[in-house]
Amino acid sequence: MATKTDSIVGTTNFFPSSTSSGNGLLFRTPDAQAIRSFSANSNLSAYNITRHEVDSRIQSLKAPASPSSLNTKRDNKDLAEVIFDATAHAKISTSQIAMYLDDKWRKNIFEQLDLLHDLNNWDDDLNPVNNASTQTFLRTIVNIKPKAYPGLGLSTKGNLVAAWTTGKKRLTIEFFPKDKTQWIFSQPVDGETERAAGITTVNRLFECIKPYSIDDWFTYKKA
Amino acid sequence: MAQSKTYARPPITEAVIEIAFTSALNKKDLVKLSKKYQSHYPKEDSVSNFEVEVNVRGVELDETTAKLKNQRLGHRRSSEDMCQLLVLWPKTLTIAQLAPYDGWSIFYQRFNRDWRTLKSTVAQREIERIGIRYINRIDIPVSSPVIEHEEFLNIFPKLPDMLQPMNAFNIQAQVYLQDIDCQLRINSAAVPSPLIDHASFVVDLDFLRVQNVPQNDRALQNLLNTIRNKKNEVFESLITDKARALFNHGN
Repeated sequence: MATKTDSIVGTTNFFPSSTSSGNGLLFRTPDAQAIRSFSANSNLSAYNITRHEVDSRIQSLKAPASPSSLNTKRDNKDLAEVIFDATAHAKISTSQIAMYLDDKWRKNIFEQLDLLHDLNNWDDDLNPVNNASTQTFLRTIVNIKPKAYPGLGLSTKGNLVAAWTTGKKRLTIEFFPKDKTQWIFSQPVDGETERAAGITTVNRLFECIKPYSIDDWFTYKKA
Repeated sequence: MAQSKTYARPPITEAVIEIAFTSALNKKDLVKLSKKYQSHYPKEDSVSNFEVEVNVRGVELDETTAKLKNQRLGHRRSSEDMCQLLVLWPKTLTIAQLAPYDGWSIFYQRFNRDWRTLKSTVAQREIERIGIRYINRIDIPVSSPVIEHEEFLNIFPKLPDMLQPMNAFNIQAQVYLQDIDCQLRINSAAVPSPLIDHASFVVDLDFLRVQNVPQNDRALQNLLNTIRNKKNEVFESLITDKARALFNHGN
């Protein structure tokens, strides 16, 4: 049980809130009891505290970078290192939502990412996976919860591309940064290939594609 | 002892155990030690940490000087899936587990294995500091523009009505836990959510033992288990039943 509180409540850092819709969310606190102010023993009198103590307290305020968020050295990376960085970031991003994915999904994504970035088959015209695109992809699959695994590919800009195929019926989605997606659906109808395409946000994606016969791949129910 | 709750979707995004020593390893020993972990952590990266001191003596630019005060070079090793990390600095060994978190027992076994590897590779060193850190993220479904996050969390800033609602917050509290003789640093902040239509809040609990630091394995094990139990107690005190329901039923 804590017996002494040395709380520094005043250090609020306000930054633009970032949400899926891009609109600011607002947080309200109730009329709760006031948080206790500095303890009587905190000894922050300007007459008593030394510069060393100030430095020490400032140091202790810093939350150290966690192991997953450490910066790695970036000078003169060769292709193998660039590719490693890209896949590492994608896998760390996946870990951030791993509690919403079952293990098979995670393993499937990682296997495909590794295959796409196989150094032995690397095409110099390609770019490694773009982490912002990965994040859009992850937000999509957690939101829509596909029941079938997609095949994954990379665009020349390093955007992830997911494809679901049943016979000649196909849905392809390219995932851009900042929750943007581009989708193309095609299926044979009376001997002709019927196509539909669109550009939309992750939020709107299912509404846009649900008129098409996608039941093989999705059974989306909004929570 | 705090009841250990098992959640279907534990909100832990990163769990960390860190051991800091009073004396640093030299560069050669650090490289040698890093190689010992290769079979468990095949991916390796170099990491660096800089401290820069800036002295501002007057109003002119040429009266300001900056110098590199401290530079640390370390090794970060990881499993293929990047979920198991090990970081070696000259004075610290850090073991981390990213989500999915498989429970304390498995995490502690890995720490124990890697701790024994260190001890068998380099000379015995005095331990200066022991730390356990759990970073949790609580994802709250959003159904209106205003989130009543106090229905999910017991940690938040208090502002007068005229200054509400807030767009964002970031708070830190430092607490001395006398019963386990540890410092606790709690960081909590609203963060960009990785999920659609959710608001997310981080609750970062960092426990440090910096005095009466155990120096043998049995005492170290006892302390780590004690801190872990306290962590559960603290975390449960910082969330409400509505948050617990999220961890069991999710989004």
